[in-house]
Amino acid sequence: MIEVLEPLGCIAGVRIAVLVSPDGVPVVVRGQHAEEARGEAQGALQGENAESLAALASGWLAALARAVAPLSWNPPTRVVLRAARGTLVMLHAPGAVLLVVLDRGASPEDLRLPMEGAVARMQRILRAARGAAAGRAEPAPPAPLPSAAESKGLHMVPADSSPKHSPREFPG
Amino acid sequence: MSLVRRLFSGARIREARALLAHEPSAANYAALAHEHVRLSEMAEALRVCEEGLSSFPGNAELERLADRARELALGDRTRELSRQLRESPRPALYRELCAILLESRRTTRAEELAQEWFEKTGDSQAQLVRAEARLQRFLADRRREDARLALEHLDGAERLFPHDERPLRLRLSLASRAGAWREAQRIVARLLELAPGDPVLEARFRTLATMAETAPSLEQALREVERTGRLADDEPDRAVAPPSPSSIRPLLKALAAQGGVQSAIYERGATALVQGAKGATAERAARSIREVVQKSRTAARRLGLGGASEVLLEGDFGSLLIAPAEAGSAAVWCSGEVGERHRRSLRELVGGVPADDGEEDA
Repeated sequence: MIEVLEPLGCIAGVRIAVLVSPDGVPVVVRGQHAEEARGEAQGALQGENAESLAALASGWLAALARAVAPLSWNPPTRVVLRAARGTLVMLHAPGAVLLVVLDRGASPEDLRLPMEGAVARMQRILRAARGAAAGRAEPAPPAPLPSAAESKGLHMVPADSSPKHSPREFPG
Repeated sequence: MSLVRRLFSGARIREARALLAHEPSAANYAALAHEHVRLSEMAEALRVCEEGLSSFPGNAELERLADRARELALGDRTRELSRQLRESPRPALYRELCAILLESRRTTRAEELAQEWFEKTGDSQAQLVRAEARLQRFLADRRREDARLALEHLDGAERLFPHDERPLRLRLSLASRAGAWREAQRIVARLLELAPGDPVLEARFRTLATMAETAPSLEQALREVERTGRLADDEPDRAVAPPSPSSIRPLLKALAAQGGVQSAIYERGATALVQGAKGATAERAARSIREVVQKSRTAARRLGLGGASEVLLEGDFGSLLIAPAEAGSAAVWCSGEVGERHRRSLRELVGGVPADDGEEDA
């Protein structure tokens, strides 16, 4: 998922971009400009900071969802919190939350399209991964010895594919 | 910079100055400062920002530009010091770089550098810088955890400098700002042991003695600071007077009449004025917005972002934009996306000057 987040890190004003998965493990990309400004020392604390950032931000998002629930509103899909020393932007993705912290003065609107693009890309990757996994699962594992039917020249077909074929398609 | 470019920029500066003379607004001050920044005239840009801020105190754009100009002015020296530190790390360089970082409010970096300074050189001054950096963070973000760490660093510094006033002064600053008067009185007593007969300290001790009786403990005071986001000596923002109820209603009506607006809400304390929604829906909306504001303020402080100035929620319900302010909070719920017009109206409602940037210091 790092490659999905990397373009966000290249945008000026982005301090950190984090993808929080449902199991709570954050995938982190630090903004390139932020790295230049803060030096390597910040990098040592990167993991710890990202985890607490992810936990606090997710907690806030959950609190917002609870707060608007009495209005019969669904949980918000995108939230922006502007503050004196930076801005937090969170975008809800299926099964994950993408969050970006911006420097003070950077506009969250500039991040709208790149963040939506990152989420779309992530979904594509997940779809492709699911497709590949399903493709691998289709063929039945070969038996150690040929069955009696195979010995007579008949081919085995997976049980789930049997309705798609008529008996006439098989030789013999 | 080439001569041609400088000539062109000179013309733009003259134009910006003429515009400012014609209409001395915050936006025109910012435009002139921008032109100076383009010419890398940071000192002049800073001077223009300061002049603008004296006329328009608290203007977010001018403050941002002033900060940026200050940072850029210090940037060259910072880079040079960092380079020298890589080549030959020594306490004098660390001290100067830490001072620059603290001045430019990069407290995280200052604290990390002080840690590195302590590890590489063993200089005990570094411990004080760490404590000061953490104290600055506490004063900016009002998090109890920051105060606790600052106190830990101060304990370390006191062990290294048992007869030094500086760690005690920092401790006194923390206790006084948090409103822990009993703790402050105890620290002043210790300071008086180091400097007996100091008239300022004696006067302060007497003042604190009158307040200490009902004062909370340090832990209670820090908890209260984190909960409310206010330090004991925080004054209510008097520069921006809260609007009167009679002036709120027409503004709220005008906001609710804008295209796409479902409802507009203004809250101050336990009172809410709602336009657009009625009855139980209005009550629920007001309650929800109050909760969103409260949670967002806490989250912004905990995330180290400082005071929250704007919250935007988007979803299948449309968009909800909230402008939290000290005097009261205003919110607008739109069926589509919120625009700059809505943002400006909200700022008017909460008593702020309509800002171009939508960002306001807490």
